[in-house]
Amino acid sequence: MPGTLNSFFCRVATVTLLVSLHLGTRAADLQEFLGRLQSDTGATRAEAVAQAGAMGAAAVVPLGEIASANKGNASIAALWALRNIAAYAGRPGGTAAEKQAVAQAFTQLLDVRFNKITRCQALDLLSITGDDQTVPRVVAVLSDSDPDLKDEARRCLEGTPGPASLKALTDALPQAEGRLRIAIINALGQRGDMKAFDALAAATSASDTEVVLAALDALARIGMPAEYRDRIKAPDPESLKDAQRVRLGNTVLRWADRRAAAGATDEALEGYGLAVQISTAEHVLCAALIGAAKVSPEQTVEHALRALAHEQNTVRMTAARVLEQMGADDSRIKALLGAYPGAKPETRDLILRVLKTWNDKHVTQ
Amino acid sequence: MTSTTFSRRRFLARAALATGASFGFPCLIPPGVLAAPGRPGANDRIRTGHIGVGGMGGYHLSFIRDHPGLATCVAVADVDKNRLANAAKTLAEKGVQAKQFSDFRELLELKDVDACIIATPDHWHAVHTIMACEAGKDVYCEKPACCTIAEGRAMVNAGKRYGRIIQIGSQGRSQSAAYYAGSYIRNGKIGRVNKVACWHYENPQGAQGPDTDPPPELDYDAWLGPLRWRPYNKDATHGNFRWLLESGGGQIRDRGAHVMSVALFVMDADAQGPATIEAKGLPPEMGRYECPPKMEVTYTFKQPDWTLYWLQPGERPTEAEDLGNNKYGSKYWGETGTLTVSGGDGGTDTEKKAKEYHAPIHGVKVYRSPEHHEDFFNCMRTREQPIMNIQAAHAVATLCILGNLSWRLGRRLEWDAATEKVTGDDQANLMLARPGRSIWHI
Repeated sequence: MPGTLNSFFCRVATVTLLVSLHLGTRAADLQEFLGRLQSDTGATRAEAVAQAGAMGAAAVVPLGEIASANKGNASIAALWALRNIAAYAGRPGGTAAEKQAVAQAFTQLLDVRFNKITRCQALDLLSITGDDQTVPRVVAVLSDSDPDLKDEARRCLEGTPGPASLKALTDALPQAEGRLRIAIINALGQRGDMKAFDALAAATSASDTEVVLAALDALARIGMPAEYRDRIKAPDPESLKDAQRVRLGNTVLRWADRRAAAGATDEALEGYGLAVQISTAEHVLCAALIGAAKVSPEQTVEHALRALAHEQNTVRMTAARVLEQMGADDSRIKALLGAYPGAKPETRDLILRVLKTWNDKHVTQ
Repeated sequence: MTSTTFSRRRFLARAALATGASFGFPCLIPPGVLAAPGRPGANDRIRTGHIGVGGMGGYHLSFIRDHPGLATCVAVADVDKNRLANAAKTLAEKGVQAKQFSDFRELLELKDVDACIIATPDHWHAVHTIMACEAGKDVYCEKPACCTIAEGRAMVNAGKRYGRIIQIGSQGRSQSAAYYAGSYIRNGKIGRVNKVACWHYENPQGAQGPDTDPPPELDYDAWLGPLRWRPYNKDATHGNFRWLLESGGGQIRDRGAHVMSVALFVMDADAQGPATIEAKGLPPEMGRYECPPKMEVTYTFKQPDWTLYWLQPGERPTEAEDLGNNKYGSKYWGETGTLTVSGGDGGTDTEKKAKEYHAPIHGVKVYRSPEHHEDFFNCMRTREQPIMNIQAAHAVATLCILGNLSWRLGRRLEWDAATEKVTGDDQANLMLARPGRSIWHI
């Protein structure tokens, strides 16, 4: 028995010694790395930066301290080293535990004891290493007094995958003001998730037209199904300034494109028609023709034929291209030939061009 | 989408009444629109609005001013008051008057601007181009097209959605030498090409001046625009933004947009996309500039198989010694010979054998641009795609961006050109886009 116990304690002591040596070695490695990073020799610093990745979470806070200490080249090197740690942690084949440890370490750099540049860097790196667990620390920065830091926190949430960041943005929207409010609305549009609908729909009731237009655009990017439209508000186009009408027309076009991509053909076609009603700008008309022709050539042919006679060169040319891409059938050929005699010279040229393109395609096939 | 006063049924009813069209699909062309005042036709002079009038912006302004047969400048916008004043002076030298704006959005609202000439820092290119398309303008935008893959794709989509003409300022493709080299190689004069090497001088190091308050003439918040916040530093702003990864991306993105543009053009490989990208290079040893002074990137392409190298500095081929502008360029190795093209921007040159080559009548035809601005203005009228259209520019920028991404992450990337995603690398895919600062987004 004593022999067995003795053997056991020896093994424990050996393991403890080995672990201590390992930790001690790692700590020594870290100190050595930090020393090289702060070297007066540029080549030594550059080499340390290049090797920073594997130093991992343990190096993050010390690097943040160097970055915040206004140490010239050493501080710059520390910021770069942080980037490399983030990159290494996110490599294919890296462990989730390692990545989470690094991300958690970055959240410590959000503390006010670190300077603004370091905190912004941490936020940026959290958008490529963070997850639901890191979101609460980022949300806290949304309340910072510095508007740049608030916005960097918003950017971080916008880029961080997962449901927690999306929820954080929707939760923050009602209280947000000024540019941050618009930025959060835009972020929700970029995320493209219908879970943001309620927050955005509420924003369409804002008294600020810019907020309303931003919210409508975000909903368009999400591709809100038509059945939701009774729950949102939109300004009467007649009440808008010219530039705002164009923006609203663009928003409706974007929505129509998204609905077309979702296979909602009828909604898309309605959207293209509505866009042109809102704004008669020629580029809106061109976009409507292009979009509608992709969704339903049959329902767009007549409009394209009329557009061949449009006063504006870009519209005529767009109509011609749309017809060329549609390809020929008997009724379209007949319609073009029928339009030719009464057409102006520029329209006649386009009719001939379309017919030639169709003929060339036919010959090739 | 509808307003509180606009139910779907009421909208369709209004449309039907207005146009006499049948119920179901509203008329796309309201009657009044057919009689609207016209945009430039074949013989109308094109009116330009210039966003960003320092550096290359000043060059474009002078060019337009000196070529009144091509276009007329009617408006300028810049966030730097000094540059705006200089622009007004430049135009006044030849009696041209233009409206001046600090906020480019006011310029975009002008109905008498047909095309925007965009020469702002790279991080603004996507937002400016997309917003210009959304305002109905055609666009000439400086290179590189964009800073991220997502930006490039959004620019392509905006051009397609509105049928706009977009020319990116990689003018090397419009040089005669690029045409000759393209014709020579595409007609098989050196056989199948399996290797292309681009050489270019190194990134600068340095810039250790302190951060300060911005100068009074510069609206720094507007200069930053969609770029992640950083303190003002004169070594990171006008002109020098090129040497920081996020704003300029170094030589590979700034100048690769020229040299690799010519390479893709000569190889007729805009639509191909790389299969793998691997970058090597040590970080700078001092200063705030972030891009590796020396860098090597290897791009492999499949079907057809070939390899492209970006070598910084690389080695200038002996064939380039007698060519103009030979501090950078590209060399092509085929089964039966080689060809060297020096430069890649305005001073592109190539070997005599290519210049003297005439393609056979039924050989491969290569598009020949009259001159980069002229090509753009011609295409505004014909609505054909210009030589450095946004699709091609996005393909070039993709190489530049992925080269930097591989370096930044310290690993090889496998690229799926069809989906525009990195295979098996979630973190890399997160970095193909970046949220815009403040209210600016694509």
